Amino acid sequence: MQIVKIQGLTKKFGDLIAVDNVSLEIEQGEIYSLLGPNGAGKSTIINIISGLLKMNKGEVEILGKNIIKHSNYVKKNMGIVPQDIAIYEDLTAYENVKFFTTLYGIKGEELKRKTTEALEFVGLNDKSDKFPKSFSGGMKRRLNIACAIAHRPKLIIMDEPTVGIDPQSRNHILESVRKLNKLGCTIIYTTHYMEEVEAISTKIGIIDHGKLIAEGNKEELKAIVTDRQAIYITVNDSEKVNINELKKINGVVDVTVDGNVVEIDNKKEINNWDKIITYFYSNSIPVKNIESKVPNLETVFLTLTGRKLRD
Amino acid sequence: MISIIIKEIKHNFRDKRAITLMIAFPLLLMVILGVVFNGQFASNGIDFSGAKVIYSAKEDGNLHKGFKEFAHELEEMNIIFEQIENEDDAIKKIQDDLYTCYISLDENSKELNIYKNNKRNTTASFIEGMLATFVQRYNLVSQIIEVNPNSIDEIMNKDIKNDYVKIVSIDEKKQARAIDYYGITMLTLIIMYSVNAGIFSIQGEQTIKTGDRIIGTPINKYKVFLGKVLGAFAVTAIQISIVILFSTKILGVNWGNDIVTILIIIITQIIMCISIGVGIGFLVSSQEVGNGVISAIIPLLVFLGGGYYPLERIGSDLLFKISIISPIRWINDSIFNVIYLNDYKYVSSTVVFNIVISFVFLLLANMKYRRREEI
Ligand SMILES: Nc1ncnc2c1ncn2[C@@H]1O[C@H](COP(=O)(O)OP(=O)(O)OP(=O)(O)O)[C@@H](O)[C@H]1O
Ligand SMILES: [Mg+2]
Repeated sequence: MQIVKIQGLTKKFGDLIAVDNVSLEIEQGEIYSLLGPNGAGKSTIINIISGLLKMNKGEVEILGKNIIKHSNYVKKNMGIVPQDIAIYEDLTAYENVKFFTTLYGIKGEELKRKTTEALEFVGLNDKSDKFPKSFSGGMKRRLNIACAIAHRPKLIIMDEPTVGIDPQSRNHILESVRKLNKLGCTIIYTTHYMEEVEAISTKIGIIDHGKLIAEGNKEELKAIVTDRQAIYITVNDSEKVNINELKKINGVVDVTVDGNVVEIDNKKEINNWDKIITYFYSNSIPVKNIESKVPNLETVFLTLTGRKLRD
Repeated sequence: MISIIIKEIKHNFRDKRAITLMIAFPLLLMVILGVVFNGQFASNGIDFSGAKVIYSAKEDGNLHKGFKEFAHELEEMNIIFEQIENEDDAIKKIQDDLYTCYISLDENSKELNIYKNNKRNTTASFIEGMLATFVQRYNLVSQIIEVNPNSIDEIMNKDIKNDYVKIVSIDEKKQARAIDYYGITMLTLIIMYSVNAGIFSIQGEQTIKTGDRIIGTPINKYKVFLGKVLGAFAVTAIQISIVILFSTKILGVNWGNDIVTILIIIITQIIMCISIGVGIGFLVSSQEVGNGVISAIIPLLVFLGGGYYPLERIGSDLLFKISIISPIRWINDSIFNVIYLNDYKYVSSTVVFNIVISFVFLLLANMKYRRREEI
């Protein structure tokens, strides 16, 4: 079943086109990562889905229902973890989760149970009567998540839930995303951390300047650039290396030297490693280390947009 | 919606410093001002120089004698009493504004009538208040008649005797002392600051982004709005009740006999202030701007309302006229009139005025709220 269906979504802020004709579909049970640099338009898409912003064009369906016509139904079944931490400093962790959960119409015993469960889920049950003032950044982020999941939504949208936190809290959060997914939640996850995307996503959308420029699972995306490999050869004295000689070898596309590391952009399907090594051997250049890398999403991103995810 | 109200109350009461300030501050001011101005409020210190009263007495007797004693007491405050025979003449003089009021006594029917000009006149009100004691002491029937200069006939033709109004008297000891005065004005002053609570309930949520989060939930946004207004009201009402309780039980502030009416005035004042705050909360861009605006305006309004010192005593006509624009003027006046003069004539207009202002600001807020982008 399709949980999210976005068609031709466009949002302008004055002259700026923050979201540009984006269409995407997310199936039930997926962990969909929206990957893009600062200002790509990730939060804007999420704010439209959550009803915070009006779209200029397009249509969004959640759980098969139009988000404007059936906003109540949609909101009931959706949990949103905002990018900016949105909790009350003067309410305890428990009171925070409880308050937001009541807004979904949950009452009484059920309310207490779900509140406690959500706090347990993010690992804050021992801090439930503490005020967020005393929390670390990671704990606040976790509470921020708990407030969005206690009502057991079918779709959870997390907008950069891991910015600015310690590795331990980050792992905890990534783990809970997986757990939520196992429990049957569909998840949309925005980030600019490639490692997180590699670790948890089942499907990835790459977004830049408001446009969805590529979509697919990890393998599909990498396939875009899989005809290459990078070979890094560390030598003692790189001055002896003649770049033009190396480039003559069949299959070598480009050669760059960075300090003592010679980086060779190489065609994958051609077996030329023996020739490359022979070059170093016959020119008496001692080789200290050889390394080869298959492309990762970072390379994919770089190839597609010409820019790095983070500066 | 209840949960929003509860949450608002929690926000406010967790801020211990602010809540202590809202409660301790007015009480402290009551005590300080009450002590400092104590001498000036003692009844023999009041000066009504130039006030002239005419009276007539049908037949001589105990009542007349008693009244003379009463008049003598007031003469010490520079109020001049003159006896007159002709009643029509007397009323004419009141219409022409030559005298403050005309008191007619009837020994036989045990009646006392006060005729006064329908102009706003504190001296007349004061005399009324004093007379109330007198009336009770002699077990009289009495009524106050307002004389309208333009409708002489109407007054003349009115069958006054069938229209008795009994004045419930106040205890002689309970004349407004300084503490009684400031007990009321500091209360109405601190209520003005509940405008802050209104602003906070709107702006506070915006700065910490939780407002956006609430929009993402299925709750109706008007319920959120209403919950916030009611929450702010509840918070202020609780604070004010504590102040009232302390000021009456510990400081002994006189609240008169009709507490219900006074509470109604105060409650409508709270509603008005919260609504103004909510309105401002939507109009200004940040909490700081809002607080800046009100901390400049409130002291001025309170001053004009006689909150710090009774305006009548400053003796500037211009100031007195300007002071009409201050809602606190109306509120304080109507409360004092109820407590000391049993006079309800300002109550309804004040209450209506408070409610109307509330509506205007809530409507304004609502318009702004509806125009926001979110769905
Ligand atoms: N309310 C707004 N008014 C005007 N411009 C806006 C508004 N919100 C966002 N923008 C602009 O729209 C563009 C997309 O912003 P958005 O917040 O969606 O990016 P993002 O992908 O979430 O970035 P980040 O990784 O920094 O969170 C940016 O250029 C931003 O400046
Ligand atoms: Mg963002």
